[in-house]
Amino acid sequence: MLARHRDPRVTPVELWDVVVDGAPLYAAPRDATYGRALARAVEALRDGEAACESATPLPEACRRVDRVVLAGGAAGHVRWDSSRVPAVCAPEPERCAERGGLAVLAGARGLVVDLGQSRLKILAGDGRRWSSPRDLAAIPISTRPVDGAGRAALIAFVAAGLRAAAGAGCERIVMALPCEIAPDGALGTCSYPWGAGEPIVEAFLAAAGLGAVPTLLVNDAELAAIGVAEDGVAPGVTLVLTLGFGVGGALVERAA
Amino acid sequence: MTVLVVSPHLDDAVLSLPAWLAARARVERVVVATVFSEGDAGYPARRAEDVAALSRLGAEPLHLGLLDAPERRGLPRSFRALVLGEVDAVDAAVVARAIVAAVTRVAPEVVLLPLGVGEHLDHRVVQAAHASVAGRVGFYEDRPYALVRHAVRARLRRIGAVIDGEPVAPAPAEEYLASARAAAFVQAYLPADEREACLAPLAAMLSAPTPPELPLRREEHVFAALDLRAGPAVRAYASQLDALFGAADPAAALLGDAPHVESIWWRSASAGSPAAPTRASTG
Repeated sequence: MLARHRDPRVTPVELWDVVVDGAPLYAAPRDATYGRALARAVEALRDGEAACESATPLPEACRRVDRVVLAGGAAGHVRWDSSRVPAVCAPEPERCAERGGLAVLAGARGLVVDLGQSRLKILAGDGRRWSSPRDLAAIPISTRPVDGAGRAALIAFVAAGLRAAAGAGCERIVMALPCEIAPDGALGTCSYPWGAGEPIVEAFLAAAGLGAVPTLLVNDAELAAIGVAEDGVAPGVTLVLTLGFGVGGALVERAA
Repeated sequence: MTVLVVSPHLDDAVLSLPAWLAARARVERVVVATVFSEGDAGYPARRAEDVAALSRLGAEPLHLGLLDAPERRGLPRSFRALVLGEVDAVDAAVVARAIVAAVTRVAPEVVLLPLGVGEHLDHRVVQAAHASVAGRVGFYEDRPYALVRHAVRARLRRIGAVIDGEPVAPAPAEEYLASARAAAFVQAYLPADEREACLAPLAAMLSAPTPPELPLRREEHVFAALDLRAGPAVRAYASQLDALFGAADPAAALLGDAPHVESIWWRSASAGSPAAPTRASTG
């Protein structure tokens, strides 16, 4: 019952480990210099000089980025610093993914689940919200290779949220995840303790008693970009940077 | 830029933020102000440990000279008295004045206070002082107490935290209790015959209703490689480590393997400053 959701307007970009000044973006200090580090990464994308620590290929459209839209809970706290690429903060930036999820639900009665690396947020069809920060004591940053520490706690955490938010007659779930998602729905890795291709979403749903509910999977930054696309973007290529635990990216392309 | 990190006791700030302090002290002035730097006969040695630890990190110590809760308020040195006891309003005002005086003296751009995880009276009263401090204020997670499962969530609920516009959902008490019972500091400080009775009210915070009143934003600081000064700084507090960590290596428990994360919860610009006070979150 799982399927990978794609929006033709949106192309995911793995930016979290783009190397800036010799260090990966995920390790950039969260101080007044962070906006400059982000801007340098975007300028390098445009110049075709960006490289990821993980050697993940970057879409060709990155060379044509016209502007940046900042989304996510930290978006309003970044001092963007680029004279070459303009940036604006999305309206209600912490709700971009939620707006994207509602668009994907397309009126179905269900849940928008956003499993970020620092927080789980769930919006129910009746407007109720469930939110909790990740407990890093119970669900620590995963080792490489993944040893599974915290896996049971993660499943319990997500299942508790799903159970609390799901009402009777849940028709569909849109679930955003902080990792790459292959066309067949196979998950890549992230800071959570699951291995590549592991059926962790099935485990979440089974533990919550929602295993039969059709579930659409989408990358979290991609879902935020869908929300930005729903809000409306100018013609050209817009790079949506979702700022939270790390930085996620997705391109929104609109013909002139 | 100057950062002022307020520590309730002589070790709390460094045990909570070892990697962050090491990183920030490399590029800016970092002052660690310990509020309760006086107490029983062990305190001279503890102050020396603090000076040594902060010297390793390149941070400046500032000892504010207040007595810890047992000496200041005449409370027994017991878990029950210090963790379950109520904050006294007069005492809270005295503590807040001392912290404001330190802020005035150091003139920092950023002030960090403990979140008060673990509910120690001295931590709660320092956390509550945020309402007297203007400007950019953040809260760090008090470790090792924050290493108990759901302990941060319990504290966030108790202070009415609103994270990115959302209150914090309840969590299962049993998961908290299982983790707390296994914690070295609980076994050291909380006698077995009192353990369940004292942990129960803490677990109840995970589901007790609280009015949402303190907007916060979590910022995780990820350290791809550990600063070599962080571990020795932690180990400098030798007199406290056995009780807090038992047989575990304190540096490993706090810093683990890279990448390592330390969180700061930033207060919203509109919350809790003297210009826009909120109810002091003393529980």
